[in-house]
Order: sequence, then structure tokens, then C-alpha cells
Amino acid sequence: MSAHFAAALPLVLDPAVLGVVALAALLGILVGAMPGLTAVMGVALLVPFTFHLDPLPAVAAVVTLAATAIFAGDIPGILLRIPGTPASAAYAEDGHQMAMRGEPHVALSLSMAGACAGGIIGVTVLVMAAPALARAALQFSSFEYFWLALLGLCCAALVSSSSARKGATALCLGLLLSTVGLDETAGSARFTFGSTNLIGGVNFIAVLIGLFALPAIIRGFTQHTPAPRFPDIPFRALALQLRKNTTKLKINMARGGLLGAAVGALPGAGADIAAWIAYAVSRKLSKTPEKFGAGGAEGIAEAGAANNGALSGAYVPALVFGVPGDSITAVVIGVLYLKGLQPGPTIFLNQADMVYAIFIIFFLANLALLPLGLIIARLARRLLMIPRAFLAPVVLAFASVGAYAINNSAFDIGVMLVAGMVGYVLEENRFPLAPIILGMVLGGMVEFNFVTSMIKVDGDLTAFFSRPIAAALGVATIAAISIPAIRLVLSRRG
Amino acid sequence: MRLNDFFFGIAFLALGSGVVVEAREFPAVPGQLYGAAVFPTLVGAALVFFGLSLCVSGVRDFRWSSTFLPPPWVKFPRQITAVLLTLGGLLFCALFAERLGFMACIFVLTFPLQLCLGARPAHALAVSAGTAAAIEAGFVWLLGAPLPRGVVESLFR
Repeated sequence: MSAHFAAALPLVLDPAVLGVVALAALLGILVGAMPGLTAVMGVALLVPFTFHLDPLPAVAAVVTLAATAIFAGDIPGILLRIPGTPASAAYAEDGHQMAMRGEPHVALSLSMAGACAGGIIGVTVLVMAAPALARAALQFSSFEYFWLALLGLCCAALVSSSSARKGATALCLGLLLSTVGLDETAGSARFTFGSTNLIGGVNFIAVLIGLFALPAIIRGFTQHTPAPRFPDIPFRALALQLRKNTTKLKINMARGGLLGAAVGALPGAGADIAAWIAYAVSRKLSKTPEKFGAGGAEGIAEAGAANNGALSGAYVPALVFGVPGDSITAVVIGVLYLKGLQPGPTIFLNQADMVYAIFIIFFLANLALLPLGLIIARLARRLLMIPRAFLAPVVLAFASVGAYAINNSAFDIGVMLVAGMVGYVLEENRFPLAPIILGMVLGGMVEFNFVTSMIKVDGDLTAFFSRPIAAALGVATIAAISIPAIRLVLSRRG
Repeated sequence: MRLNDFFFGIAFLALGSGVVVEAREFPAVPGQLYGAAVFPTLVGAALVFFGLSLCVSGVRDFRWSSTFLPPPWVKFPRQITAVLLTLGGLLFCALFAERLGFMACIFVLTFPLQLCLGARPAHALAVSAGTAAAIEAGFVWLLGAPLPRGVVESLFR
């Protein structure tokens, strides 16, 4: 492992890579600190830029932006009680209560220390677990990959929404979109309706930008939010609190980081779910549970650590199996494919230096949260005062150019527009959007492995359970689908 | 905008049925039982199933008062205009970006929207110009993306 790290280090120390990391970190802070702009949206807007970069800076940009945006989402949550990203919602109330008591620097230092510690713990888990899992995954055949992808999709649909029915419907929509274009096995055009623009399929980045950016832009200027008022943050006090809280709450941060990494590795369960679970666990184990929701420190530190821990954990299934853990890793998988890198166990054999370089980037991005956080806390006042009248149109302009730049096709702006309108209506009616993206990314993998397996065994479905790991994954998938259905039926009867 | 699940159910039912019917036309691979139609047929069937399920839940929870709830912003003419300018601006870009170029399209997309959201004309003009310049610098100069310049092409010669 150390040899791989040594070989990867010069790749990361390339000034171009470090420059991209620095720019992505600043962009992430900006996106996260703006209420209404999510980390997924920031990543979606960044992807068109990455198309013109080399593979390592492209992935580094996405990794860094996501890590910094998730942390920066805490800033408006603490100062304005408006979480910058959904992942910050779990402890926004505590942070804001603390700020209202005249201690915004304490809340920000807790969030900063939690994010950094959680991120580092998550990356350590990733570095330890991913290569070991990859060695086991080398034995996998199309049966195991089929079940793995299907299990990921089922979890994504069931976990991401309060309504499994709506999650599953959104997932089917994503799977349907993945079938548009030339079929991989037979080479025939499907659902193209004579349009040459659809021969290569529906561009998932254009759909991603549409689904996540357009509804956020529209909500940004159609929802009334109070004019921001917040205090100045003293730099010295912030730095002192950072040191004090890291020592005082190290157990909470360690537990949050580990829990976040474990939850993040589950397909469909992203940073927001990890933060809520960590917050609940922290409250349960706390000696002062009454302080939760009233400006307590433990919840901020533990859930903040879980946030960034989950981000790293989500890369375990993404890198090892090519199965994304959340929307952000779905984008990373797309970027890896576009850059000629095949996520899966063989990436650890064929492009090990690249993988370890990505691990180093993870460490760098999470360590950079401390200096960046200290600076941004000072600038937060100006940043949060940017009027919506300017912000929404600028984001819209970048979204439209981003959609165009992927294929240099105005057709993709149309795809983005349609996806945005559909996404707005679906989201307003509580359909989750992340399963659509996961369905689009994993649809090809599910179909290819299913059809290949069916051809291999001449349609004998029992063969899908003939290998031990395939059988275990098959049972887990069937359980994931049937247990919620059985519970639903029983609850109706009861 | 809230709609009763029944209407979503009908829409997904229709979509799934259409997918199943269309998939029957996909050519089979010679000598193979499983080809291009298998997966879309399964997805179409799943959409039919979940569409029916949404119809049932929609009927069960049906209340006239909540059949259709318009979004709160329809009460505010300025917000309606802003939404229309957003969608119309994107449509304009999709139709004319290659002919007029992105610089012109960014002005059409951002300038009226900023005015509608209450920005001063001078500020809006500066932000539109700054956005166009940032996109030109970021995408074209830095990353080498061939964005069309259209009507302002002559300025770059």
C-alpha cells in the first residue's frame, strides 16, 4: 500500500492538479454556503468543466467540491438557520441556537472540526476497505454484478424517500432513460424516434443539471426567506475554539466519522441520512440529551463528522464495484468512464496509482477544510449577502452552458430544460430525484449483466443463485424488496 | 404544485404501456432468446405496476380539496414572470445558442430575469457582462471548449 501511495504522490503534487483542487475547494465553499445550492448541484455544474481536464484533476475537482460544499452548508445553517445543503439540516437548529447565544464561533469551530475529522476517518476507512473488497470482487461474474447493481438500485429507491412506491417509480424512470439509444448487445436503436441526437442515449449530465439545478433556481426566487442578519466572527476566537473542541469532543467526532463512513457505503444512503442517524445516536448516548435541539455541542460535532465521513464511505462501492452510493458518486462513476477509467475491482490492478492519488486528494480536501473554514467564516457575512436577483440568473447561465459543453449540442440544453421541469413537478410531489440518476448510471450495468447471464444459462433463472456470493446477494436483494412490502401489508391489516 | 397520486399513476401507467408496446418492435438477436427488448419490457412492466399502485393510493387518499394545489408563487405576477423568463430563456438558448452564440444568449437569459427579480438595470448589465466574460474565460480560453460565439465572432478576430 505504501508503495502505491509513494507512486501516486507525484501525480497529486502536479501544480495543475493542486490548482484544480484549490479552485474546486473555493467553488465548493461558495456553493455550500449559498442556501438552496446543494453539493450535488455544484458537482453537476462542475462536470462540464471536468470534460476538458485530465482524469486525475477531473476526479479531484469533484471530490474536493463535494467535501467543501458539504462542510460549507453548515455556515448558513448556523448563522441564518437555513441549511446550505440537506446534509446540514440535522443540526442546523443547534448551531443557530448557539449563534443566537452569541457563540457563532463555537458552532462554526465544531462544524469545522467535525467535518475535518469525519472526512479523515471516512477516507481512512475507504483506504483500508476498498483494496481488500476489490481483491474479493475479482472473483465476481455477471451474476454477482447483476445482483449487486440491483441491490444498490433497490436500496437507493427504498432509502431515499419516505414513499418506497415513489422511489421505485423514480428509479424505473431512470432505468427507462438508460435504455434510450443504441443497445449494447444487439446494436439496435431504442426509443430514439428517428432523432440522431438520441442515438448515443440521453446525456445523464444534462439530466442531472436539469433535475438538481433548475428546481433549486426556481425555488430560490419563489420562496420568501428573511433578510440575513448575522454577527461578525472573530478569527482568533474561532481558531481557539477549534483547538478546544477537537480535544473535548474527539469521541463524538470519531463515532460520527465511523458511522458516516458505514452509512455512506450503503447504496442510496448519502450524507444527509448519515447526519440524521449520527445525530440520533449522539443524543441517545449523551449524558445531556436535553441540550439537543437547544444549542448543544455534541450533535453538531457528531453529525457534522458523519456528513463528511459518509461522503468518503460512498466511494467504497463506487470504486470497488462501480455501484454508486449516492448522486455524487454516480457522477464520479460517469466521469471515470468518460476518462477511460473503468470503476470496479480491476481499477486497483490496472490503475492503482490513479486510485491512490484519488485517496490522497481525499485527505488533502478534508485537511483543507480547516484553513478554508477559518477564512470563509470571516467572509461569510459578505458571501451570504449576495442578492438572489444576481445569483439565480448566474447559476442558470452556467447550467445552460454546462449542459451544452458536454457534447457541444444545443439539444442537451433542451434535455436539461425538460428534465428540470419534470424534476420540479416530481419533487413538489415528493418523488425523490436521486434514484433517477442512479437508474441512469446503473441501468446499463444491470441490463448488460442480466442479458449476458440469461444468454449464458439459456434463460435458467436458478443459475442466478448457483454461486455462493450471487445467492447471498440475490437473497439480500429479494429481502430488500419484499420486507418493506410485507411490512406495508401487515400495517394495513393491523 | 401538488397533484393527487392518481394522476401520476395514470401518467406512469400510460408510459409503461407505451414502453412495452414499443419494445415489441425491437429486433431480436439471431439465434438468441434475449435481446434488445428484454430489459425495456421489464422496466415498462415495472412502470405499469407502480403506476397502478399510485392510482390505487391516489384513489384511497382522494380529497377534492387536494386534487390539484397550484404552487404558492402563482399568486405573485413577478414570480410567474421570473419562472417564465427562466424556462423561456433556456428554450431560447436551446433554439438559438448555435446561431447567435452564447454571449448573446447569456444576456437574453440573465438580463431580463435580473430586472424581474428587482435588480437595477446598470447592475444587471454588469452581472450579465461579467457572467458572459467568465464563461468565455473559463470554458473557451482555459478549457478549450468550442462554445459558439455567433453574432460576436467578429470581435474575437
